[in-house]
Amino acid sequence: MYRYDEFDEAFVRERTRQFRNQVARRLRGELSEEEFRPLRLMNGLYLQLHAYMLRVAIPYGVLSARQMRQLAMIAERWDKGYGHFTTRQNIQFNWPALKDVPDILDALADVEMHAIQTSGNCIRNVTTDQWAGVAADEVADPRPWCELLRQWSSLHPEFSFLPRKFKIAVTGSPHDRAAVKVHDIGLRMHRDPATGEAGFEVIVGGGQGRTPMIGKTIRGFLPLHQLLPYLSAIMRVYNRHGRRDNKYKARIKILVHELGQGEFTREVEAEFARDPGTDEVYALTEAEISRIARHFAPPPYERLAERHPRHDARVFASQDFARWVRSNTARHKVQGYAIVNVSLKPTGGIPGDADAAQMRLLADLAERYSHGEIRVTHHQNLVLPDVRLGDLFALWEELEPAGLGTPNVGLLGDIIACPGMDYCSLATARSIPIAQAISRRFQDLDRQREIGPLEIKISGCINACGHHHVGHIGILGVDKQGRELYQVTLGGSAAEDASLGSIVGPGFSADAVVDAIETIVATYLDQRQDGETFLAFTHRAGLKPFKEALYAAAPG
Amino acid sequence: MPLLRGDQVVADERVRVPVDAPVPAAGPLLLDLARLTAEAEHLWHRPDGVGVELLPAQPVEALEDWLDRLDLVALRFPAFTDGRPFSSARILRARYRFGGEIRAVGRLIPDQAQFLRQCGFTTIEVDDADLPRWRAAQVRMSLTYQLGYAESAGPPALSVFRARHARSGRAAA
Ligand code: SF4
Repeated sequence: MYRYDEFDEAFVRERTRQFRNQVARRLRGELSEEEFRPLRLMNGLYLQLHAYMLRVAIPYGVLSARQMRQLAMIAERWDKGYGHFTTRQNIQFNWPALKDVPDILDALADVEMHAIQTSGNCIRNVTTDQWAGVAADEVADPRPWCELLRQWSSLHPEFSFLPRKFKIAVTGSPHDRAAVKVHDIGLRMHRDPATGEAGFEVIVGGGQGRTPMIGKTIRGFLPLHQLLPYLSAIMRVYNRHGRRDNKYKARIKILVHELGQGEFTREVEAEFARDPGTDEVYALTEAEISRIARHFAPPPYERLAERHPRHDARVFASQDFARWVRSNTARHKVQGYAIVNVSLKPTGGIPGDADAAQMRLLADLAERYSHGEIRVTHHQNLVLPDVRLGDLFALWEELEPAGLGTPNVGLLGDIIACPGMDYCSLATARSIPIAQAISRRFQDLDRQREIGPLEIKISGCINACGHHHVGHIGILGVDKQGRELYQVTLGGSAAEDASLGSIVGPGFSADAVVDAIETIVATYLDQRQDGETFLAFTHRAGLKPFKEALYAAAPG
Repeated sequence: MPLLRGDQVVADERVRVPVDAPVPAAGPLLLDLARLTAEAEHLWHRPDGVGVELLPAQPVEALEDWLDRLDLVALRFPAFTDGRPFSSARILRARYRFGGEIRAVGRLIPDQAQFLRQCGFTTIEVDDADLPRWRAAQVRMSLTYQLGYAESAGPPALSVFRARHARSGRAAA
């Protein structure tokens, strides 16, 4: 993974010192909350319902064992002993005291981490495929480009006061695990079929929130070395022309929508033509990317056989282990290795939460079994990317008793939920308790396996941090005359077949929503054709069968 | 209002001309875009300099024909969160190679000073009462990751990419 050099180190230290000075001024009363607000936001510090919340950047979701241990230390020393992994591949601490935040940032800097640009109307932490570099279907490794973007976007003089926040995602695989079509900019790496040269498809104007949209491709193939000037052109068009009169219309998706895809594309291309980047920019991009890429050279893989007899025997002997292998491991690009997905969704738990002991255990396990590396997924799970087949059983035996072995990745129990009313000051309803109730209702893992791939995503308000628009089943909590009401959407997807869910009908009360999910699942199981997934079924059959099952029985 | 130029405080000598008042015969001017457009042809013989102030929605491209004769472009920030003038300044410097003064006016916060300079601003209009706050809070990063955003006043922040490249060049040599 990427390691800081002396420049990165100095940059983060300097930034941390600045913020320490700003916090001191705030604590002395020299800065009002109004003046302090933009400064703290630029350093990832929010004011929540009950306390400050610090959002720490995990660049493109990659963590070392050492960094994970430091997060555990921070959780214990300055928080309540746990942290919350988010859909942005970040971690949030929900209870830090303001006076401690500079020390926390120093502790982060000690392990090459920071909270820069995890909030505010700037370019946020870049996200990518949690299997980058190890996925069997990968065309090109997106991580060096993500690191380049991390650096390029850090304290960008021109693009730090945008109309609204700005999120970039990159994928290097045809199967999109980074949800690039629902980001402000999505970059898909692919190869020119004629020349074999690698480049980017540039997708702009996707997003969720109150006006969900699927992104539009404005450039089918962008040569790699032109990335920074081209992104600058997009950012400049957005910075100048994005709406600033209405916070809810300020994202780039609205600009793309209002100008139209054609006109927006023309503006970007014209801007790019005027400022296409100098030879120096291209040369330095190339030098820089090859420097960064060396950090992502494959670890020393062993030459292993495709199958491991003892592993096969254990799968045969233990049903529990077999179940976990089936749902929580994935094919690795190197023979004899597997990608391990660690579920942070135990039955009835809070999606994405991990306590300090779990973090330390994962750090140890990563060192023992996975070249010391851990990934955070936008599904709020973790990944150990490089595990030998022969080690899977030993690893599972340690994960299981720590509550980290729930075999539900990609299944119904693997629910995404935003913090909702329990933490968030914008919430109109609870989301965590709904996730917990659904997870308890469907705790039978064989039943989840029988249901097959099913993503449930829950947001506690229209801002859609829980990604409900792109859930196979989406749940949105709203407030109706002082009562929580849950609106259910079906058929959304954030993958390469990106689509937005459709509202099935009138919402449900908190008590009724779990039954409604039960009815939806039963309807699918009853009517699906051979091998048809839930998502495929909703796309084929539409809302009708669900409407009938959910509402027909009601009197009147 | 005084101006900050780097760490120096300098007086503003520009005459702002009210909408219905005639343009004074002498002295350096600061006009709005409408006035400049209306009277452009009568202004260029003046020895004292002509400047224009743009609102964020007024594109700098509108100045294209006059830039070689203007010596000041002031860009207004209606709120510190309105980042449009950063791009305007950048375009003036990088695309049009404008060499005159670029002034930031309006509501800004001290912590934006470096970004302003990096985008090409040379002066910042600051309320008298705010001067101590600006002086105290001027925080400066000595490193920058962006290429082509040199600072226009004071020592430039070191470009990380260039520094790395120079070092690896030395290592290779
Ligand atoms: S979706 Fe709403 S309630 Fe949930 S975290 Fe986002 S803003 Fe808060």
